[in-house]
Amino acid sequence: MNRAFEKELSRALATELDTAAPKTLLRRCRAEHVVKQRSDWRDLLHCQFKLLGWKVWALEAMAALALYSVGRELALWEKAWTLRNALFGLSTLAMLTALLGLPFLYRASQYKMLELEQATYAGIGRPLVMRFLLLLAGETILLGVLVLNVRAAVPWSIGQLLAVLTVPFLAANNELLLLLRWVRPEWMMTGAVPLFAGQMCLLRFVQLSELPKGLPLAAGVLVLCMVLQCIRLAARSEYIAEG
Amino acid sequence: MIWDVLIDRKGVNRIQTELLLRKVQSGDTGALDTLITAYYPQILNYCRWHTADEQQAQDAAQETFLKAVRWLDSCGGFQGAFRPFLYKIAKNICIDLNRTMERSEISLESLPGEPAYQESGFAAAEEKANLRALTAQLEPEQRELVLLRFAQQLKLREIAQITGLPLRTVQSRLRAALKTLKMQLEKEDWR
Repeated sequence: MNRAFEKELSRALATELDTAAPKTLLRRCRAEHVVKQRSDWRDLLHCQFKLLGWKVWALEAMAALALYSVGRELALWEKAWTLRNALFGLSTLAMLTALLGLPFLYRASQYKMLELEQATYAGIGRPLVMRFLLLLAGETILLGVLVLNVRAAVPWSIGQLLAVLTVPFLAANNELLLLLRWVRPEWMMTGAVPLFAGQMCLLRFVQLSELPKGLPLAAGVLVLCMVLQCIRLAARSEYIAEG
Repeated sequence: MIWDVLIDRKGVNRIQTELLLRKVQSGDTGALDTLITAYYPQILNYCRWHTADEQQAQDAAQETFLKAVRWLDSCGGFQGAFRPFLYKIAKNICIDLNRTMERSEISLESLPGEPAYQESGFAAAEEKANLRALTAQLEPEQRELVLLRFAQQLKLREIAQITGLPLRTVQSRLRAALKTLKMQLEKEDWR
């Protein structure tokens, strides 16, 4: 009964599809439509690399070197060099790295600095994904160097080390980027405190001896983290909380 | 034009629209013409329900497409569903127009003309006219939903995007509007 009535209503209110668009409208729209030259994905990645990539990697490497040198001078590492402390240190480093980008992102959002995005077909989400991937590439290299050093001190397989080190590392790094969707940038430092606390609790519960061995497992965990974060960052909805 | 084959009696679907949009953004003016031609009847029909007369409806429809074209190139190009986007623009333009004219109610004289297809029989034609008149007399919020759903054949999700209402609210208000229309129609039949 309802369907019959709905059909009747549709027929009564139907649109006349034979109404042609006026030629003047088509001419005006063609005149309004200015095609801009846009760059593709590779050009955008190259541009992001120049703007962000190598500078942040250099900054991270310098920070890590400085920490290591100071710690060695103070003979801290011999006493504090446990896996848990190493994980916590890496998480902290990841969070601080993510925080470095915040003033830039906040200003870009506040002043609608979308010139880079407007020059491409990529919209707003994809440049953010690219920035994330570039940061991740640098951090993966750094992480690889640290894993090799830790392995020298701890007799575990590379797979176990990668699984234990990368999950909290990536989670810490990307939790802050995702927080941008809900927390205002000026409150990010406050928001980071519970994250730090959460990471420490996470490490407490990790039973390293029960982890399965195998590089495939670690690779799978790494890929899963990266894919999940890319999907969420590439979402079209606003990724920075508006005031 | 090759893109004209994409338009059939029912208009373009979402995939066809996406294809046309990509062509438009790469500079194909033929695809732009096809896109406008495909959506113009729907937008004009929508504007007819929301403006005082045919001239204003045509002005509103044309302004909708001009604004949409300007927006197509902004901010890295258009992304998202095109149809709700177009209807949102049309809705806002009609609101501005009515605000200027200080008009809030639709008069029966300004209703769109004959139905799209011809059907023989005085009773059927009279029933259609009744339904159109009854629709015009609904509360503005309910009328908007009925028009978007049954006149413009939009999906509930698209209607929710255009109106900014939650999906459940759209469903419940639509149900209430249909109930009201049915009751009014039965009352008319009894007279």
